[in-house]
Formats: sequence, structure tokens, C-alpha cells
Amino acid sequence: MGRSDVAGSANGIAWRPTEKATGYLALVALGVVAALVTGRPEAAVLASPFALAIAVGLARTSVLGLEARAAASAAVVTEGDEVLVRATFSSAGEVEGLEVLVAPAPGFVRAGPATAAEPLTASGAGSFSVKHGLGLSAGAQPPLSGFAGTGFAGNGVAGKGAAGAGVARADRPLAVRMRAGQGLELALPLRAGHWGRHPVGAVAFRARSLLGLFEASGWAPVDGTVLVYPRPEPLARLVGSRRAALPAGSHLSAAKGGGLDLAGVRAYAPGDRAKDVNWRASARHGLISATALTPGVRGRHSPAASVAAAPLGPMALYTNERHPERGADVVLVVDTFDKAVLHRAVTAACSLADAYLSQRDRLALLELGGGLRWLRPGMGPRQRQVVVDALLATTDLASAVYRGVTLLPPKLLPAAALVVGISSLEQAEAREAFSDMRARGLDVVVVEIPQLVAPLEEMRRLGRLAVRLWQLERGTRREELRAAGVPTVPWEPGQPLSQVIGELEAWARRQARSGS
Amino acid sequence: MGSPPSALGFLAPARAGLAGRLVRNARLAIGSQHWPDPKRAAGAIALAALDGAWAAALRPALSGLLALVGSVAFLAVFGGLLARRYVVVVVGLSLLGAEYLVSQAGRPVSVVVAAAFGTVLLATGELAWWSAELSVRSLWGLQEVRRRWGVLVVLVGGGFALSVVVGVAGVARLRPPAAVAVAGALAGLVAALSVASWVREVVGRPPSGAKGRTSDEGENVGATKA
Repeated sequence: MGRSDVAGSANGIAWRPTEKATGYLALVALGVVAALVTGRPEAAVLASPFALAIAVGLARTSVLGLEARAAASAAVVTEGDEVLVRATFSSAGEVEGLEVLVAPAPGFVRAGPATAAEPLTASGAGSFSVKHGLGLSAGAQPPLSGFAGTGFAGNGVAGKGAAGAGVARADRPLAVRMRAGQGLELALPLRAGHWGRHPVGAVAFRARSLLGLFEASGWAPVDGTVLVYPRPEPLARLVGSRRAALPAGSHLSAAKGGGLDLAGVRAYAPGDRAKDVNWRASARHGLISATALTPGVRGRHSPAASVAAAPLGPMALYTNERHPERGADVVLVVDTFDKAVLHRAVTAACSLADAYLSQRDRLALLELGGGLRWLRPGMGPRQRQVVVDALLATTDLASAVYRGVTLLPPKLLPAAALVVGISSLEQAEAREAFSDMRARGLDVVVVEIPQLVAPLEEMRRLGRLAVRLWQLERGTRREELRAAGVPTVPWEPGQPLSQVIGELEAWARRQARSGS
Repeated sequence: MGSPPSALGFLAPARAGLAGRLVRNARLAIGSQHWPDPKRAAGAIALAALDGAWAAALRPALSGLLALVGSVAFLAVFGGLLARRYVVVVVGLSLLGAEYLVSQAGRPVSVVVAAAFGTVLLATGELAWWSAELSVRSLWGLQEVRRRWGVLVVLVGGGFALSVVVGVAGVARLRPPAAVAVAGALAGLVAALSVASWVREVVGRPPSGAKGRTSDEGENVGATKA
């Protein structure tokens, strides 16, 4: 019986006889007894091939001493990335067939069939020869890629194309032969499917001797845990703050001043820089006398002087006005009341945090739930790491002492901050929090993540009318927030987050134009 | 004891905790295939039918009884494969052997026919095991499959030769005590090998000079990688 006394390894696994060995022994014994009883050799003749099979199987079976170790190739990955589990096997005796299958932990799925991490010996590599694969490139990952399915499952997936075959093959154990005293290292690919810190799983294996008279099995847990970060969705546009106040950033301020984007053209005023003069507008509309300028004054920053030096006659100068680029204070508010939507909420929060911090905004994080958790505003890559780590530690905590956002430190919610809420809006506390913030004069937008799974399942039992009522209730909550001046857009499953943010941005822009 | 269904239990050492749950999940994933490999199962069933019909044809006078025994044996092989219970297959093989012995009762010994019949029985058992054991689900390399076919062919050929030798020894005008001695020697050899293997492998005591490896002996593991 296999055992795994040490984490990440299974050691000293020994053979045990199979049902076949017992059955063949019984047949031989029956034949011998029948020959003795009848006094005729036919029974012994019939039993002889089985006796030979037992003799050959025993003669070719030596001490096994199978050892297995498993470790993950990476400690930190992003959702959707592959993690290779490297399983190392060594045995004192020959193993006719070693079947290996990785059992992934929740949060991981099998990504494909196992391959040889590295051929440990030349002769060992020879035993891995393969024929054409089932849609997999035979030459891509020699020598173990393209194993031919020998069972009906393999034949069944052969016609389904590469993708279907790959998925089907990922769930089938890989079988290889190990010569005595040789090692074997296999790479078993997993795909990270869920953010968080997860154990990776275990590698299960079974060894069989020649003719299948003996077998041995065991499993080795994969060492350590892997931290899986959410994969941020690309966001082309973001909801901008109307009151950007930080000295540097990517938002265009409504005010006019030094910047890159053109805000308008006005008449020249003394003190304007020469590079701000709009020469084309000046040439088209200029009528005033050059004497109105400052003749005789020559200086680097006096456009009038350079104009006066030229024989242009009377003209006026026009100067470009520009919008300055400023940074904004953004507060991400994540509703952690609802466990059913927590995964999508954290994914959206990570995407938004990544996008806002990349445009040099100052970002704070507030988690609404059984307790209030927040991160003070910050900028740059460090803040991104801190925010993502805080989001990964997000859980739904049930508490009866929620007292609203009045307890928050004032620095967390600056007067000009943009609040981006991510919530299912199922909890009244979350809706009240967004209304409170709006009542304080903050710009608030909300990404609604509809809670779909559990309520719909319950509602379907009740009927279509109940589903309709529930949807109406959701719509009412959304409209209440919108009436309070909080743009709210639902993020339906399968919909790109960028589309939702685009709608929010357009909504906020319309709101700004209307002056509300 | 292992068996094809309990061979799913190669993941059986699952214990409490996450690792246990994981391994149970893998077991479920593997156990989703409840049917044997159809090609080899069909081969085994065809050979079983051939054996049954052959034995019945050898003694037309007893064809009714032989057909009955053969049918039961065929059903046992078929059902054992369907249920992936090799014990039932073995029962079917023994019934086929009994059918042959009944068909030959009171007749002169035909060594070649008996050897051929026994060889077909062995081929039936091997194909049945191959089709029913868990490994048919695994991804085997072509070379491993060829090697297994090669081993099967050599085994069948060797089994036929050994059967002929045993049969010839039995009918070469030897007295029954001599045939008994041959059969006894054969059985003793098998029993001795079985007991030796059991003591050596199952008890888990390696022979002297072959010290078992442990996880602490990292250099041994490293040496195998080099």
C-alpha cells in the first residue's frame, strides 16, 4: 500500500499481488488437482500456460522501492496561467507501466497531458517513443507528446479535433515504462482558475509489473501553495473625476493652465510665452498696429519684439489656452456582503485598481462587509501590490455591528474623490453607503454585479412570475440609486467589464454636462 | 487484493483532509470509465466463444451438456468483463477448461489439441485482463503497446510449448505416479515462487544488499536523475 509520510513525497512503496495473480494461481491449482484426481494429463496441460505466466511474471518482478516527489514550478501566477507540477519518480526495480495523474486542488484544473520534463537517460528516452498524436503536435514536446490512446476513450476523442482531444487527454493518466534504477521526471500542467492562495493538489500514481501480476499505488501531495492573482480585464476608458486636484496625473482638468490639450484661443496678453502664440490665428485675424506691441524690446520671451522686428505692419496676436493634466483621488468600494458575487467583485476591483493606478491616480480601497476594512490612498506599483493583496484576502464576514461609513477616517474620502462602487446591491447597507457618499457630495458610480446563481435556482422552483418579481426588485434598487445621483450599470456574466465602464463613463459625462 | 474496479483504488490511500479529497476526486475522474476496452474485450469474448464451441464440437454425443457448460462459461467471461470483475472471468475460464475435460473423458489423450485449447484459454484471460484493467484508460505509448503485444505472443507461444512438453510427458507411457510427479513439481515450483514473492514484496522487506530508499536519502534520488 502506498503511503505518503513526508509532505510532497511518497516513499518505499512495495508491490502487492493483483486479482489476476490470484486467479491464475487458482487455475493452476485446479488443473493440478484435476490431473491428480482424473489421472489424466489434460488438466495439467490446460494449466501449464497459466503456470508459465505466473513463473515469468514472478521472475521479472524485483524489489520495487518506488519513490515519488512532486513540486509546483511557480509560487505566484495569474488567473489562467499554467502551473507545471513536476513529479519525480525513482525505483529500484523495473516498472512495466507507471500511470500518473495529477489531482488538482480547487482553484486549479488540468491543462493538458503530462510530458517529460527532461529525459533522464538516453535509454529511458527511448522507451517513450510515440506515434502520431490526436491533434497534438508530435514534435512539439518530445518524447512524450502525442501518445496514442489505446482505449475506447482515446478512439472516441480522435475525431473531435485538437481542442476536444486535449481536454479529454488531460483527464487520462499518462503511462510510461521505467527501467530498473532509473529516474523519471514528468511535467503535469495545471491551469489556475481562481484567484487566491491555494494548495496545488496531489500526484496519484500506479505501477504494474510485467503481465500485471503485481501492482503498487500511492500519491504524493504537491509541496507548498501557489498564490493566484486575478487577471485584470483591459479597460480602454475609465470614469474620470470631474474634480481632479492632484498636481500630476492623466485627467484633463476643467480649468485652464499649463498642459498639452488645447482648450481654446484668446487674445495675446503680456507675459504669454512665445511658444503659446497661435501664429495661424494671429495671421488670419490680426489687425492691430504693431506699435501697440512693444517695439524696440528684444528678448527671448517677447513675441511682440520679434514681430516688431519684422516688417509685417499692423497685426494682433492670439495665444493658445490649454487644459492641465491632473491626478484624481479614486476610492474603490467593494461590497463583500455577498459571497456569491465576491469572485467577480474582486476581479473587477483588481482590474479597476490596475487601470487607475497606471494613470497615476491616487487609489484607496474600502471593503464594505461584516466589518469595514480600508487601505489609505496611495499611488504607484507599491499601492497596486498592496491593493491586490488586500483584495485577495477578502472574505465575507458576517457581522451584526455594521455602522455605516460614518466611522471612516476623513482622509479616506477626500472631498474631490471619485468613488467607484462594486456591489450586488442585495444588501441595504451597501446601498445606503453609496447614497451616503453621494450625499456628502462625492462623485459615485456603481458597477452592479447581479447575484444570479442561488436566487435564480430558488426562483425557478417558484416559477417565472417569481423570477420576474425578483428582476423588478433589482431594477427598483438600481433606479433608486440612479435617482440619488449614483450612476449604476449592471455587469452581466460574459459581458466585458470595459463595456460597463464605458457606459458609466458616458453616464457620468452626461451628468457633468447637465450640471447635476 | 487488487481488482480492476478496486484498481481504481490505486488512489485508495486517500485519507482525511484536503489531500484525501483531492485523491478521491481523481478517483472519481478516473472511474468515469466503467466499460472495458471494447476491442480487447471483443477479442476475449470471441476467444471464449471459440473455446466453448470447440469443446462442444469435440464430443457431439454430449453436445447438449457441453453447450450448457460452455454457455455458462461464456456468460461468466462476458459478465466479468462487463462488470470489470476478473474473478468472474477466471470462473468462466475454469468452466471452459472443465468443458474440455468433460468432452475428453474416456478418450485417448490428444496433447496438441489440449495444448492449443489451454493456450487459447490463456490468450482469453490475458485479453480480458488487458481490457478490464484500469490502465486501458491511460495514455500508453505505441512502443509500450507493441511490447505488450509482443509479450503476449511470446507468452502464448511459450505456453503452448510448455503444454506440449507437459502433455507429452503425461502420455509417454508414464505411469500415473510419474505424471503426478511432473504436475507436483510444477505446482511446487509455482507455490515456492509465489511464497517467496509474497514474503519479499508484500511484507516489504528488501533482500540483503538492496536497502530501501527513503526520502532522507536525497543523494540516491539525485543519482537516479543524473
